[in-house]
Amino acid sequence: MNAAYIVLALPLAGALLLVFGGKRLGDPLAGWLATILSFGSFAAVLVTWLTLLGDNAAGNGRLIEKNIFTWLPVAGLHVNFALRIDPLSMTMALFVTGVGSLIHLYSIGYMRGDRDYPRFFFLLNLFLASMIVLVMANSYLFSFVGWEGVGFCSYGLVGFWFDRESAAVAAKKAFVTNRVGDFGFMVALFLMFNHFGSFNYSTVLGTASSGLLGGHATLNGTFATGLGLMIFLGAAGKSAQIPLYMWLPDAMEGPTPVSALIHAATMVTAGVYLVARSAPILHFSHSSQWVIACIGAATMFFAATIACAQNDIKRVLAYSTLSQLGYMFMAEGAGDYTSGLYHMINHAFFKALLFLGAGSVIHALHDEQDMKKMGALRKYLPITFPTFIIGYLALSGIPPFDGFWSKDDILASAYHMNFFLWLAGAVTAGLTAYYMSRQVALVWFGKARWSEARGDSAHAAVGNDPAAEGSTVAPGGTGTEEAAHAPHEGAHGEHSGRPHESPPVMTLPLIILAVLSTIGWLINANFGGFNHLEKFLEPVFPTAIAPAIHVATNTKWVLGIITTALAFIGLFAGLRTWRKVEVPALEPAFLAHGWYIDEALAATVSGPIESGADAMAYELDARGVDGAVNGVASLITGTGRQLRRVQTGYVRNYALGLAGGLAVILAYVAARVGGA
Amino acid sequence: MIGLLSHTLVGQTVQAPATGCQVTPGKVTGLCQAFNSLHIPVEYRTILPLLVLSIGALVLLVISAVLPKRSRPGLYPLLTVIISGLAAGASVFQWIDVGNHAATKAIGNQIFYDRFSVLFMLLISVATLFGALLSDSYLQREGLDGVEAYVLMLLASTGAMLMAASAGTIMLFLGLEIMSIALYVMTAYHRRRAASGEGGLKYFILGSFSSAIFLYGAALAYGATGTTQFDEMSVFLARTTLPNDGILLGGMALLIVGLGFKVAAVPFHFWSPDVYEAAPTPFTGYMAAVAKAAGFAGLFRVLLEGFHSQEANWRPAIWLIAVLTLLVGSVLAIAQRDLKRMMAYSSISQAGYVLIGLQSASSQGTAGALFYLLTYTFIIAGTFAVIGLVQGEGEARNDLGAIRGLGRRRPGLALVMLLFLLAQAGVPFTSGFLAKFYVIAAAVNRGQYALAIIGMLAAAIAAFFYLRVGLLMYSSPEVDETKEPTDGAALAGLRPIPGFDTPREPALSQGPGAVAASSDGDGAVALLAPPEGRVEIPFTVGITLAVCAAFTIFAGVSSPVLDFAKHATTYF
Repeated sequence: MNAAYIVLALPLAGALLLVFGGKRLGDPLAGWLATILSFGSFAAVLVTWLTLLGDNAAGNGRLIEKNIFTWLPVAGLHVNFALRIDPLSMTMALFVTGVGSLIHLYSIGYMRGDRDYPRFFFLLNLFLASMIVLVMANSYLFSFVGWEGVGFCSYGLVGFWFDRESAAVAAKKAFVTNRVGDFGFMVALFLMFNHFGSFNYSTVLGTASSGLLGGHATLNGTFATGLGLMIFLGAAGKSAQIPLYMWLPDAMEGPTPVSALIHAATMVTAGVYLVARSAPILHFSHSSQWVIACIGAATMFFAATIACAQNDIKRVLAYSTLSQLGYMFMAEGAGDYTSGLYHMINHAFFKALLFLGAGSVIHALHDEQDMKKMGALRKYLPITFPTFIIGYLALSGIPPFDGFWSKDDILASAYHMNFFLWLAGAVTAGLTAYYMSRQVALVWFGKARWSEARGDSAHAAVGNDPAAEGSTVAPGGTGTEEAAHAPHEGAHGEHSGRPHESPPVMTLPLIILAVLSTIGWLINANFGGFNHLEKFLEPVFPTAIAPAIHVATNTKWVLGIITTALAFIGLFAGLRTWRKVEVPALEPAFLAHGWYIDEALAATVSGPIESGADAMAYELDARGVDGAVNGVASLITGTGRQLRRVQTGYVRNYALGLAGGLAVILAYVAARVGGA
Repeated sequence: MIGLLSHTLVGQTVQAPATGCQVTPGKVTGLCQAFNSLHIPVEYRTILPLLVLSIGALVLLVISAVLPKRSRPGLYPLLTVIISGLAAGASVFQWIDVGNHAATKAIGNQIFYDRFSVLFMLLISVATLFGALLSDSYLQREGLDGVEAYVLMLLASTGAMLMAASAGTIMLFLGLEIMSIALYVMTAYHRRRAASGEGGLKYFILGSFSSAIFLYGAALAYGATGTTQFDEMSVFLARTTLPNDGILLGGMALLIVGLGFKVAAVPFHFWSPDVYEAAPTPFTGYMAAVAKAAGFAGLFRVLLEGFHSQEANWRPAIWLIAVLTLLVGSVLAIAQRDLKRMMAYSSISQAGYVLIGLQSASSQGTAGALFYLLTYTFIIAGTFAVIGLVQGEGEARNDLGAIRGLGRRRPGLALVMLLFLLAQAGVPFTSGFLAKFYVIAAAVNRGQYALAIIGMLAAAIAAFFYLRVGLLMYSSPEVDETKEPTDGAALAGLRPIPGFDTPREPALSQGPGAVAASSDGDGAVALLAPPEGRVEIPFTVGITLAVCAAFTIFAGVSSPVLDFAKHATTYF
């Protein structure tokens, strides 16, 4: 069990080594160091997990806590930071370190030649450590430490190329939006401490032996709703659900491995984890479960429609991530936590695969991200292409790839909760297949548009495109874009002309992820006793808090067939429409602009709200607050200057001062004589 | 009471076989007293660290007499480190020993053998160890190395330990004098710096003054209670209602003033900035830790044990002193341009927090104060270690400019300095935060809200100058000449705050009537550019910095040190 410490210690040590010695290690040693430590962490998780499996006989509900240290034992607040080892934290830690390690490996090749190579791996390792803290912490408070840690790393990595203004702005947007969610998390922390007197999962959520919720058999419904919704607000911020979703598409400004690791596979699933962790609280609030399910469903559908009209290869995947996260929340709202987590793991595999594949494409085309300038790449990227196709089929929900299985489970549970939730899910499944087919057709098939795009620098296709404004690609053709990507461009500047396959260090993770996307569903296949994940997670989600959902087998079959049929329809529609030689401009501007939400927000916020903020900043703050602060400061320094005159340097004056003090105290004492 | 005392003495004399004295009740001759004292059993283990240090000092002197002069440069500091290490080991042994047995009084009831005193023994041993480590490179740089510095340091520590262990005003005074005289000499140790000699003399004159006040207080207390022993005073005061307590309270006041001088509490602090600036830098750090700790140990003994029943009378007095100490210390520190003077005021302000702990007169307050002193020892040793490095040969540069741009010149050094500054400012995850938090919590628990708020205010004011130094370390080493007149902005990269272009405090006396005349004028001192050249970190200093930094973080995030202090609150 002590291997649990190693899980956290290795990436943390990596971050420390890289921040102090990263420059000396340089490129690529810094990357290899980070990657090896990351794999070491994964190995330690495996050992811990196996020990936990062997621990079954102990009858402690498979829960072990390893204390790290106790902080501030004052005034009733007893905070001990410990690692919690239970099925849920192990499930999370396994895929976080596993997928994280693969992406570390990929980054060695992808970031090659970047001038800030060590800083990238420092942030990556720090991110991994924070993520481990988040999922393995024993209390909400300690999780919050990791929560903020991943937020910081995300900020640092989205804005990694901070000399690009769009990157800096996107990083800021992500950070600020997350603050809103963090506010919810913090309110939840206060509520929880006020009610339970503790932040510990064991106390707040109860253990198998001590009963639920800190010894209380039940929880006041209103309180549970308030607490549940605040937790969900935190989760929505981190997992980019409506209304806090805007930052995620913009976060694609970060290097592609970052998009894969943080903004697809791991960090954005932190909200899903937090809600799953809080299942015992949500159990007492049916209304918050409804809110979660509905917001999940809304995000799922809304994001999928936008994804249909994006031209940037990464933004399509970003909106797709939003949509898939919506599925997970819908499952959790429906009380089917296992399926939510099952989909999360599968999604981590195929979405990381798709992002890394996209990165490989971007790499091959010298930082080209506009799908309208791709096409026919299948001949040039013989390894990326088949792996990308596997990821595409998995995301589209085509059997037997793993997206199908978990999506099917979620939709069955949604149907059990409400027919319309299922309907939204099924339609979204069709849309998913459509937009992914569009992407595949544009990138891999059709005519090679990249050669003409590169050849004609005056070509302004993007600028003319109505969708261009919605994407990150700067109008004005390749010239501007290359300048914008200048720091990265140095990585493979000598190549020119033909796209080239990426080095093995990048394709190996693609192959591994492709295999996982093909067979990963076996961890919880709902037939033949293959439901390992469900059985493993049973101690965390006992039937008392997550009642089993019974959907008749026949109904399941019917639902599954309808969804799959919709997916195939989307698939063919997408491929037929977009495989043509001449690319049609079919994207509705409404969707390309993301339902004009950003614009609407900008209009309102930059109007009255911004002028109000300006007034606060320049009038109230500068004159009122700063004035007061400066006034106090000058008062104090002035006082100090006057007081200093006492310090003359003469011994006789010092002695006089001493005697004066003595006289005052004696006078005081004299006044008290006889009073005692 | 006197009668009671002599009765005991008589009883002992009678029991002693083959006495040569003819004893008449009520008339005890001096010879007999001397005789009796010979028969007082001496439990050596109760003063083990004291013995180690004082014998060590003698050994050093003997070795230096035997060996040819200046034979081995590093020998004396090495021996001092070993001796103080042994003393620390002896303290740990005592800690366990006291834990196994009950706390007792020993050696003719003159010595308290309890965890309170053992904590101070350990603290003083560690401070001596750091003092020796830091002095080595400094004294070699200044060409002052010799056995005397280390002998003085060991003797001062012996006195300090005696103060902490004293069970009566007599022992307390003995310890006080042993410590103080050594410290006077240490202040004046830098022969070639005029400031050093002047500072030593000032310290000596004012110190004698305060010693006299202390002694007079002890006499008055004896007059009122008939005893010099704290526990007997306490018993007497609990039993007896004095018809007129003027003498008692007067004695108490004088004792507070005498010890208040040692801990540099306002308004008995005047000596401290001058002396801190004058003394060789490692000695300043040593003094700030040891003299303060010993003085506080004495104050706690006197007030919590001897005048325990007079709580209602002394708590308001300490309240006032604490408030003055906190505010004057932090406000005046802002106006300083000299690093060592600034640290002197900072150290005054820090003493205010220990006074808050004392004023609470509760177990939490005492534990907080002890924890404060313990952690402060490490912080201050580290801070003065850095100052000693950046000031350069001959203490040429003690102004704030010396530290400018340190972040670029020595990033590691700047980082640990920043840690110490943040710890003193009371930033969470450092020991300083926990220490401040704990004493303020103690004040709140005793209903002292005003004091708690003043404590927090003082921390906010003090944060300004700690952070200013921190920012200065990370600002560019180039001085922008055009900005000099309003260098409040240049200092911290902030908007100019009026009041920074102030003249330097006349640290050393000027004009006729002064003890010594020496002045560097009081015109506006521009913030100078940092010195050229690389700051070398000697091995001994590096070790000290590493240990102090590690401890500062460790004690700030984890509880063992706090638990340690909690176990040493004898009186609750």
